[in-house]
Amino acid sequence: MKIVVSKEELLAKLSNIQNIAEKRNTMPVLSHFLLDAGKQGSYIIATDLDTALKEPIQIKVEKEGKICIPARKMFEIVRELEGDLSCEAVDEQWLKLKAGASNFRIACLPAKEFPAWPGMEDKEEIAIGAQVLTEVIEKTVYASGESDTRYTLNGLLFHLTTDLKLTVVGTDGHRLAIIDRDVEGTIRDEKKIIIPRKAATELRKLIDKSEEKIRVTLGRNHVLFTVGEIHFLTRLIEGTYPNYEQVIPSGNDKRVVVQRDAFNKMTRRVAIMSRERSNAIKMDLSPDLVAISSSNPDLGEAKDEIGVDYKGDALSLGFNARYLIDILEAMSAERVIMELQAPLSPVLIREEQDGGYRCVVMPMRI
Amino acid sequence: MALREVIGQERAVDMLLGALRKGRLASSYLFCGESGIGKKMTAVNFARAINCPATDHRHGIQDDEPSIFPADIFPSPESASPNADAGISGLDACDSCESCIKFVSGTHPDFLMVSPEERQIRIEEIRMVEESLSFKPFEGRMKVVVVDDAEMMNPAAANAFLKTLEEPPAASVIILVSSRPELLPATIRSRCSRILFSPLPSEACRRVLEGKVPDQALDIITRLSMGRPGLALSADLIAERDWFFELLGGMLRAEKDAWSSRDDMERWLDLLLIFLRDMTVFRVTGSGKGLINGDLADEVKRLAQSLEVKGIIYIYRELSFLKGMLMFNLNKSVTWNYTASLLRKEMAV
Repeated sequence: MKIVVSKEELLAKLSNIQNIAEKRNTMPVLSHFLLDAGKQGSYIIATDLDTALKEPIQIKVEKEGKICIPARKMFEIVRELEGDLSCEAVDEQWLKLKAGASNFRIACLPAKEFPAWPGMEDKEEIAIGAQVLTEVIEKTVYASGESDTRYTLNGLLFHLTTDLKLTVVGTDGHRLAIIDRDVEGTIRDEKKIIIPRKAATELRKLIDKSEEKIRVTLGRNHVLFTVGEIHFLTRLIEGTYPNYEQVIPSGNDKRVVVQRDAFNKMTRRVAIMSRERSNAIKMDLSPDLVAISSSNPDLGEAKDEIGVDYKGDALSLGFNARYLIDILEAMSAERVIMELQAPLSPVLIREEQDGGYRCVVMPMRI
Repeated sequence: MALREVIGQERAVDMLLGALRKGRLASSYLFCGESGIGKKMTAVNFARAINCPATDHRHGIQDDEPSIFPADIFPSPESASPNADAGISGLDACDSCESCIKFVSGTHPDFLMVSPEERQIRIEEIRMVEESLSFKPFEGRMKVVVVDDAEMMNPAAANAFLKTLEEPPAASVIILVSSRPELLPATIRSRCSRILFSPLPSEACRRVLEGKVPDQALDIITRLSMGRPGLALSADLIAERDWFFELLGGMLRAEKDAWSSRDDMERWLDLLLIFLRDMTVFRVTGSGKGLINGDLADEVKRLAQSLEVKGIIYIYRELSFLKGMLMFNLNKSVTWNYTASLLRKEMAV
């Protein structure tokens, strides 16, 4: 393999893969990226086995070939170089890199050790607007679990129905976020796929730069997102996602309407004095007023209150402040509605206008 | 190497191939039998056969939800070279596709091998296994995890593994490999399909070793390996035996203990038991035939002269018992002195 590439092009492409090429791993090849230089087009591919990213790269190919190059080191080297770089592979083991008077020889691995890009033959395709995809990820990913042993919770459920409704759900067992949106395309039957949390956050970063529609290719074991020229593939989590419809409370008759921003700020203030691990705060509801308080025997106490729309009996509940803050910050409406029933039954929180976004949070015992 | 090429474990291989043919794979297996007889190698090759795209078996483990797709709609595009002579009716690994090659270099993304570190498999390792099983296969058909020396799992790790062993995620096969399965908790054993491996007949053992050890030593190494070719391949058995004799000499001359580790003690006692067996054979038959240490018949004769068969059997029984106690951290020099006094008394040296 022999190529010439500009510093800017290579640097831009390498920065996209830095999060995917793993640093700590049992398989050394995963800390490398695959450079596939062909006369018809060249690509770089990186994978950590859960996700994989493939992007075209503009290079001048003098001799075709493939090689695995250490991602981190290459990035550091390219960053410090100037002008055009010429690279040449030696015995599939070394990469000779030359830029001006600088010379590097980098230890590489043969291309055949790199995991195969999974083929996706019998597939279905839908399209989602870039902003919609960003939104559904941002509004659910905070609620999903992290290294939970109920591994299906460590991801986001994408539930697609044949009439092209997409429901995305994230939950860690204490809280749940659910959002409904529309997609385009055709699918043969209802699908429930679970996308790993890490893949979802990584995907969100990629979309950042994009405006257009994103093609989503659904396979049996993988999902491929095509963002512009970039192909982002993620492996799915195996298993059955809990039945989320079951846990959304429907008979909550007590309705509180609050100013989102003011309520959020108040919660943040009071949470400072809450116990570190539990973040417990107490919420006292009375007609047209809600008071939030926290106390920590080592630190002291805090109390704050705000006027709300509420026409029911007085009620006291405990919450993990973190959960409330996450929800309030993910929402964008000016006013949000909390629907409650009893001190220990699940609370539904939604935006005043957008009925498509709902959050459920379990109160704490206080 | 394909499953069929595993020498001397026909019964185990037949069972595994049969499971592949019927598409009825168990979700967890326990490969048990003495060390050095090819359990781990068979496990790796089983994993290759499961994932080789040139094979056409359907696998028995179904998804939770029935799928409208055929079982293998995602063969890796580049490696889907149909195996012309798929040999064993397309069940076994082809040995030439990219998938099979990745098993050799240890880079197959759907294959994970866990082995003990510092004589233990810890709960972190098991958690890692569980996490990697929670995903769908990356490029192969099924994810395969091999836990080598599974009896080294500490109790926490073993208990953490129970749930996964009982209900593994779809498209997963877990293979526990153990030379002392009786040390595994019963709860683990009962969750696995047990596949028994036995020491190889000497003819098969010889075939394994042919070309891998010096020709002139092939006979003696085959005998010394006692049907466990893995031992002969991982260590120089002749040098080991020389070391054994040196220490035995030292012991009979009442020198101080010369073992450097527990593994040393175990191996040395193994060799001593073999030697006692040879002495018995010699006492009974009176000839140098049928000895494992056939090339050292003179030595066997010399040491056996002063011993009665009854005495040898007594020593043998005592030492077998001692060997069984080794995992309880026996004190090295006490064990050495005990063994020495036992031998010296009976041999009347």
